[in-house]
Amino acid sequence: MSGGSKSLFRSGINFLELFKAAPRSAQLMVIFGGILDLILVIFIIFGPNIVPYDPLAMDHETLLPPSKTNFMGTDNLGRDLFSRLVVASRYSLGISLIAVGVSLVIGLVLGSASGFFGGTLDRILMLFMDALYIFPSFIYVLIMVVVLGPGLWQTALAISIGRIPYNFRLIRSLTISVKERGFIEAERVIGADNWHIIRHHIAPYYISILFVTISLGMARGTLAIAGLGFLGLGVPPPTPEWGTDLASGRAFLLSGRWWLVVFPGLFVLIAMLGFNLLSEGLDTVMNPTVRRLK
Amino acid sequence: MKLRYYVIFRLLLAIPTLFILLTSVFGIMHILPGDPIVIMYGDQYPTAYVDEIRGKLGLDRPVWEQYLDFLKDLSRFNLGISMIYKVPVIRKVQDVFPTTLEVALGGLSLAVIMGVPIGVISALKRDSFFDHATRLLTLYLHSNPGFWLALLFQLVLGLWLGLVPISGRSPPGFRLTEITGMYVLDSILTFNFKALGQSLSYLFLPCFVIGITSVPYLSRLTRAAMLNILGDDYITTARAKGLPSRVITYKHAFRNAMLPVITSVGGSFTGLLGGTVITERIFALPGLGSLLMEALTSRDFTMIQGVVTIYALIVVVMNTLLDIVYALADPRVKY
Repeated sequence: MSGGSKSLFRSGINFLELFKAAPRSAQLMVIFGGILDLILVIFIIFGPNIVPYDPLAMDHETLLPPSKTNFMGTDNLGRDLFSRLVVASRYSLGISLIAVGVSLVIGLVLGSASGFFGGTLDRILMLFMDALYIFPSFIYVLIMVVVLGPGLWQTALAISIGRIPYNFRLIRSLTISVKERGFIEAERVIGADNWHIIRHHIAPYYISILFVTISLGMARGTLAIAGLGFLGLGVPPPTPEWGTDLASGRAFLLSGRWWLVVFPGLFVLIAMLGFNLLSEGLDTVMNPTVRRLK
Repeated sequence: MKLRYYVIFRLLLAIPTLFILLTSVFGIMHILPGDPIVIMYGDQYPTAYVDEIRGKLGLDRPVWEQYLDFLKDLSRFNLGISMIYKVPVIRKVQDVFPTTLEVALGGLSLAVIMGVPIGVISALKRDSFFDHATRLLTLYLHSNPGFWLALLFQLVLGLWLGLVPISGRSPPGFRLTEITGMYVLDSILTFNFKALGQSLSYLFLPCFVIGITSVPYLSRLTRAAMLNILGDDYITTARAKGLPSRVITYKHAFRNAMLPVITSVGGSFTGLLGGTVITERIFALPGLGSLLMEALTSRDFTMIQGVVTIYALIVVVMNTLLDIVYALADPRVKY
């Protein structure tokens, strides 16, 4: 009866076996990506508790270069940059996480329906999603943000909508490939019902690929949020956010205040590296057949 | 099916795609959360004024009527009159389009020049030091936010080392007879080599940044395509026949590997267009992206709709053309 959790558990064991069998480079990618992501998770959960200063308090001298007391310097309003950037991971990554979740659910529903049922529904959905797929999603996101207005949830919604065509295509092709697998047919022949097949064969397969997708989606989302912030359309100030802080620091680049640009970008880079390393490593670990062919 | 029919079929297929994109542009602007005028202007304006704007834009009429008008105007290449500039949107687009095109083409060419050889070499020397090093490098570049890279280049190459101009299209006192609006092309056409040097030096940073951010995608795709083909039977046959490996690599493998790469250029072009908004802001370039940003911040309703329509047109045309090129280049494609 506990089939659902059992199959999850089983895919966990599979993961360890696959991980051991994977090439060294993929193992390293998963480990390094995992460590970077873990640091970010710590920033998200404990951010305000571990930073040395209040990220909103303007109680330092303005535009101080990095020093022992403010080791990433201070911004133009006299706020400690390091504290701001650590706390900002909550907003930058939190929005991305919501966006990934929403777009994944929609992509999962539409994509598996399209792939499973095929026919006219599939053709119409494909036509729509292909059209949206070739359009630069950032432009969509930009317009949506302006139409929906500023705010955390609006930004998350805009980004998730921009991401739907990617998830749709992925889930659809995944569903079709699973549907046509020989072992699924074999299961059917020996009398397994749909629910059994989904729980024991399709779900574990989906889950392993979903991890890769989530990681990749987090990277794209983080970049989009930073881009919006950079254009002044992200989370409204004084809330700390990497892109917004980078944009306000840019005004002081000409006068040589490099730290206001370098450090916010460095946080985005670390997040992106973490997600990209993890997704690429996981992709290699989870697809041993593809790996052998390469 | 004959090639001619495929081309016609592909062109016809572009129509529903374009139609869907235009409809979603219209949908986002008109239907989403109610009244675009209230969202765009807020409630700080007197009702009479807001009503006047609404009447001018025809927003007081039923949505389906507006939608038909939108399509009717589009078929005549009429994108409406800008609410801020009071000139036809299409004129503003014509003014800025060459800039975007020039930077995009420059960036794309640099990406191909850098990305394709990297991919080919790492496929040929698979698992070598070069392969691993470029894999790490492309992973790093892939994780680097483009706008941050642009700012760092501005800081190091422009400000600290003073090698290249950091923003704009041309120095003060720049002289050039404009024909196409693309400075590099115009200066070649008019044999104005001073202007050519100047415009190239201004183009360098934006094109380099755009190029380098597209390298990871292109080089990895090329590598995968090459590896795929190098494992094919006909390559083994060619080897067995004793053909020199240079011939095998470039004549047999490379040409075939380029086919999927051609199609994927469409993908990088899409990403690149989305990035123009940010790139053009950083380098103070008066292009489509800047026009869109300006329209968004000044709430120029018709301009936003017009510019996004142009973006949709560009990607549809680009993708259709690439598909046709692909069919022309590969005789094995079954239509």
